[in-house]
Amino acid sequence: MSFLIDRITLENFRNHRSLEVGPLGGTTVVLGPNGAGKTNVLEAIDLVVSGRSFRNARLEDIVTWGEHRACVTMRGLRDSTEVVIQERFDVDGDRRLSVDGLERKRRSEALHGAHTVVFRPDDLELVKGPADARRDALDALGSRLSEVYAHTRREYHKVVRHRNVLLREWKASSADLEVWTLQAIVLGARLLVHRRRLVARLFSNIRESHSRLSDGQELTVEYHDRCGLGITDPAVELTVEEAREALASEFAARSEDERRRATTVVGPHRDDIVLLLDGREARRFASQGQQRSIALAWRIGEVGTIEDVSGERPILLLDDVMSELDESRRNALQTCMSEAAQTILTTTDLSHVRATRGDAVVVELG
Amino acid sequence: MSLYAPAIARLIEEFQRLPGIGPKSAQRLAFFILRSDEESARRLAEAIVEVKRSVKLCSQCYNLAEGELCEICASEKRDRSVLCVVEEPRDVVAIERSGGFSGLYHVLQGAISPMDGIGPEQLKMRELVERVASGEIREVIVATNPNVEGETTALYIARLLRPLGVRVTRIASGLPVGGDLEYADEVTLSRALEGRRDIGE
Repeated sequence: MSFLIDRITLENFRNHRSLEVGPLGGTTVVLGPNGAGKTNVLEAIDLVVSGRSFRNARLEDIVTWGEHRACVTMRGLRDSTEVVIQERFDVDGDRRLSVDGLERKRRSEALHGAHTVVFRPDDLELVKGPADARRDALDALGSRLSEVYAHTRREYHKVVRHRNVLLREWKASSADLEVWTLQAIVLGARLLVHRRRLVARLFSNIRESHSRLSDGQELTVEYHDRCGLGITDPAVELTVEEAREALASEFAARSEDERRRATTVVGPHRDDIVLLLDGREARRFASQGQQRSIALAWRIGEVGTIEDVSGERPILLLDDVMSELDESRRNALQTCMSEAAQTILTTTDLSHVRATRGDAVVVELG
Repeated sequence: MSLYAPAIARLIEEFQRLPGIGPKSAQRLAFFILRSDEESARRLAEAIVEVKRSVKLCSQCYNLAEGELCEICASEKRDRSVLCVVEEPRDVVAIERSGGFSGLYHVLQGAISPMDGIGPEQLKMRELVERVASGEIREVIVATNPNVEGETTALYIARLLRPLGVRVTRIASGLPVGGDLEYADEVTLSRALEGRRDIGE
């Protein structure tokens, strides 16, 4: 099954009081000057399909200033049947998704597992940035693909925040802390196992797309955990019990350290995913161009992983990325686009996207 | 600062203190009341004052009660050897509606949540230990919500009560994971009660 968006209507969505875009094609170019609100259109699609905004925006920021409610409506085809997907966002944080007028609670169920992959200029951070950029990207992908992953991650992070309050502000007794440590071990072990599995899976795809982008350099990945495990190869399968044992002894070993630093220093929220280009850390030693290739390979790898796991081709959202890419990278991205369910991209200048599919629909904003 | 007359500004401010009410909802409510007739405004105000005056917490289980003891604690028909621990009075209502439980309750008045400034001392935890230590109770079923705070509270209770030689069980999942007990339908709830298990280490 696939979902094809034909028309998008935005009401009170950021700068768009009322905007209708469509009909869209297999490839749609949203053209307009800076500030016309092109990215907002992509954000609206991402917000409805994946449930979250790639800008990590709060709902109150999404609603046009001075209004109570924003609304995104997407009309399209699902299995060649017409469908209307609508979501309302209230300033106070309430949001309601409906499909053909019926309110739906579970997004993944309601949308039959439609997915998005977003390409942005900031993707370079995946390679250049600190560990949390990579962790967040992985966890966001995992959360999109699996409810269990999403739930485990959410609950684990809540436990860490509670624990940090106990350590920092309450100078908690060990009896009060102990139950939270147990929860951090149970949920942390689950997250670690899930995440390592995802890294292994994603990286076989990233490596493949990278080999097409580079001149024979080899990209490898290591998983550096802070869970007392010390197994850097993510392909090594780990049981939840093993992860739990590792975490439990690491928590015991680091308890004084964690008291002194008044924060939770053990656990998957501090892990790093280290990318190596020909055996040297890409973050520090790769050139800007090489880093750009790795970042692009990462996102293309996500597309492949989503297909592997869900059996669905994702919708690609490209936010002004073409101008940053040279000929060979642009070609790689275009190959990826030709295999996607649908692509919507933004640009300020049509010459950046000249070579895209001939059937591209151009929509002008501003 | 406020552009409204002091009386209406004050009402908006009071509404804003309520859970889930933001500035805009508070405004809407305040203007609704301003437009309604005096009689309905008086009825609302009296209902608020009355609920504070007449409804107290049961001295035994801390459920809502209009007398010294709540109806459940006062009833002769309940099994006094089984205790079900819940977070809020509304959880008692949910479990009672399922009809799957005939013991007594203990309402903690919340769950352990350091981020919200709630530790065991802010809950009816000491009272729970005293109740269990006093004898009669053989089994404690922990029916806190199946979220992180509820699970942690359950663990804490298990560790506290086990040394007293009482059986401590947790209602089985079958509850929507991550959800609040309140929203569980009655069938799932009674099934969850049947399938309760001892809380793991």
